[in-house]
Amino acid sequence: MSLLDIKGIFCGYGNKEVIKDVSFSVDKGDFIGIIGPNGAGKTTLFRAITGVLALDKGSVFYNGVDISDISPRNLAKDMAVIPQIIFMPFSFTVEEFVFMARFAHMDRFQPPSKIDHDAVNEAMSESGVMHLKNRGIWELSGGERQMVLLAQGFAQTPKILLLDEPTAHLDICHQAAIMGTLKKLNKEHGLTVVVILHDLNLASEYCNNIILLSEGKIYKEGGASEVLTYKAIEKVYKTLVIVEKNPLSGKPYIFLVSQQDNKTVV
Amino acid sequence: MNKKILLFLGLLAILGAVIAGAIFYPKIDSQASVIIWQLRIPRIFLAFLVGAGLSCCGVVFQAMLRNSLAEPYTLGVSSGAALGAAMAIMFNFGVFFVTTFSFAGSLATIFLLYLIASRKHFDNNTLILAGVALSLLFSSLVLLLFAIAKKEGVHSAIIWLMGDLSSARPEVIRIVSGFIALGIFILIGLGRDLDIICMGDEKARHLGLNVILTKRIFFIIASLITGAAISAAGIIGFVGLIIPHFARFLFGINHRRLLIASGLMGAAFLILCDTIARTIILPLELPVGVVTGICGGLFFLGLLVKSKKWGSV
Repeated sequence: MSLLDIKGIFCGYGNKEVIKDVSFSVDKGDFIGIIGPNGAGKTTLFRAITGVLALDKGSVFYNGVDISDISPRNLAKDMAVIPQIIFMPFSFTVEEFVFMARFAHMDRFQPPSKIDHDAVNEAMSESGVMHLKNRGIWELSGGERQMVLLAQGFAQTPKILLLDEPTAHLDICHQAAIMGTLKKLNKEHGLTVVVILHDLNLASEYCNNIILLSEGKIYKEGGASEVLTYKAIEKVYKTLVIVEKNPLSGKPYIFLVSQQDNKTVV
Repeated sequence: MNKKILLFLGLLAILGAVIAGAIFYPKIDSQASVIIWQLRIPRIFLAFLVGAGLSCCGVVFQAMLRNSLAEPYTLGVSSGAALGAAMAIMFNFGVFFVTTFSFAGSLATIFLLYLIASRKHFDNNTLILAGVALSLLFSSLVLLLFAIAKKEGVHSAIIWLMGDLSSARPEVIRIVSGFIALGIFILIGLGRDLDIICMGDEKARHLGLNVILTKRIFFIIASLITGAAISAAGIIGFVGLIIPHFARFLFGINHRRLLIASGLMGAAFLILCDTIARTIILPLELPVGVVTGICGGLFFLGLLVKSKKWGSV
């Protein structure tokens, strides 16, 4: 049985249907990348999968149970979601912020147990934010904030982790750090990862499975070399590209063709 | 941290000194002891609860609306409660109904505010502007009520409207203190939920919080406390704004700790303000709302001018 089963879902905002008949399944240990142009419905799909957005049609099953029948608390014990950005009205310390991940695991009137403390500490060192633990969230740089969000996701000790563009606006050092950490947890602890990515090359390099989304539908799904062909990319993104192989990993690597070069090629 | 604790202990010492002074200072004759036990102590007790209650409500509104300018007064909740209470007073209903109406008024205001704000996606400016507008509207309606009534009690009613701890009767204090104390205890118990709510609805849900239910509970309890406080003491503004800011500065943002700290600091602050109001223009008394209003108004302006942009992660 798949960990997460998405069956023919339709959803959107008001009478505007954003996601139209999307089905796929996520198995335990998968590392799935969701790509697609702006407005393709990646974030909306995420909100549907995680039970935030009501579905107009279809259903999402987690471990065989319809996700709308699972209480937020029970779902949070197994599934962590890391959004693109969080507006914080107050400057919690990094440690307090990461500790919130334990909310679903703690009894309301009991102090945090050793398990909670261990999970938080491990998550903070895993994402390299241990040295920031007493700093206020507001004082951090963009890259540090993203790592702290990641630490919060890990501290939730989920079976499945969903991330919405964790590498947006980050330099390549932080991009590599985030994707590397995810890959490590995926391999060593069998953490299932579903991640929305804008950077096609990151998706190619790290994901076992890629879902290419276009106008609310799955355009193509499969391994990097199946999905990331120049034909598919040109069709969906309406942009000329050249696809070569990364000399080290042998995975597809996408080069953008700029307007001037475009003329000489065609 | 040590300095902060010292400062906090200092505040507590002031509170203790004020209480001790009220009890022990004029023990010359029995008349004085009557004043102490029947006037001062109940008044201090009321100030303690109202100050604590309003501060805790400030903490709750600020966390829930994720806006550090939110509090019962700036959101118009206080005025809504006052309108409810004023109606009950005008129609000569009993003490219990004054509190009930006051509670209904504050709950209705929050509901209205929520409706307005949800149309604008809980935009910070909309929320505060709507609050100010509702506040003015309800205050005017209260004045209208008093103007129509033309009873002999109007003067004391207007004093009550400006925030007054002196005129509450013992049975009022008893009912009100029960509501406020109960409310504060529940809030402290739900402190962790309040931390999570700061993350915003969606992330809070992902962390395992039943957001809609929890928000409803918080709105009801905050309305209950505000309603109770206003029905006994009138509109006392800005306590819920100033105190949470100082408490956050001193003790950080962990809401369980913050609620306890804000409660105690708010209590101390209001007792202090009431002492000032009672003594500064002897033999007359100022309504305590005037004192907190002056302190708070200046503080609010300072905050608007100086505050950093709201951070995002």
